[in-house]
Amino acid sequence: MKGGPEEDFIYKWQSQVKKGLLEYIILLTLRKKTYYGYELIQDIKQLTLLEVAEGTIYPLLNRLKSEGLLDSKWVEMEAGIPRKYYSITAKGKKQVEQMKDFWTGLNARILKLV
Amino acid sequence: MKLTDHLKEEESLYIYSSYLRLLKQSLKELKKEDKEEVIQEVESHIYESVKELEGTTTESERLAIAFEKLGDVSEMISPIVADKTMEYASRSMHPVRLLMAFANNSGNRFRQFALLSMFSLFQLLSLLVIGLCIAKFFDPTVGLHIGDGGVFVLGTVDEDSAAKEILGYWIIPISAGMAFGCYWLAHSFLRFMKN
Repeated sequence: MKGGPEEDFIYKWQSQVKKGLLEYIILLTLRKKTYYGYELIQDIKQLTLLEVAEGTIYPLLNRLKSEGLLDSKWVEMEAGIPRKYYSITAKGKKQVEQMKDFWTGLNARILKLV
Repeated sequence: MKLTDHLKEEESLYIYSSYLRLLKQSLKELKKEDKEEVIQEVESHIYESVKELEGTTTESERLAIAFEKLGDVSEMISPIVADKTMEYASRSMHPVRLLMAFANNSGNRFRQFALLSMFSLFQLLSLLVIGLCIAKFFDPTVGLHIGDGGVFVLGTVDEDSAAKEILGYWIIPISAGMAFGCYWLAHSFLRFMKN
């Protein structure tokens, strides 16, 4: 993806925006149902067209969990390896609403500049 | 059940054991239960990823694709280790845990050096005052002396000196309190950094 200085700048900017939004996207996605890590990143990639290394999601899930925004539990599978399912907590739902308000406001202000 | 129980090709087992070694190496600073949980989750991810590609190519190639999609081990694990070591340190007063948290949470070399220096200073101060408590037991003349012109001397003074020791055995609880204070400062500094 890297080319000249201009493409390089855009690439870095896009990468920062993606990383910055990922926590918000995770919380938004988990509002609908519980997910295990692999399933969550596949859905996020499909829904948002974000191209991120799949491993990026685990430090974020770990952080959101330690902040009390997510909960997790291991579920044994009939065949295969147990899956760790994540769900959003009441605190997480509250936080995501605040994030949504901020994001909507910011987006509206940016659109005025465009 | 572990991922190795599901891998059939010898090459896949070899590739996976190399990856697992690297993963364990990156997680060596974590507590056993946290380490095992991260490994289990990564294993679960790789298993799902390999399973999804079933029937497309060989098992070892599917494994290689899964690793590539997962990304660099260090990029995935470093933030987890940084968060966990910070969590351990903010819960305990263990000096090694505090040091590990500083080392894992410093953005660059200069910051790391500055943080470690500050932490070491607090630690040194706390050791010095603990040393003072111990010295008092062996030499009763150790204490806080006040000399002519209001000069304070911490430690011992010559026998013929006019300086007067003012704390007596109170120096022990006072020093212990100061040692705890220094340690608390180091700890608070860490919590401030975390927030």
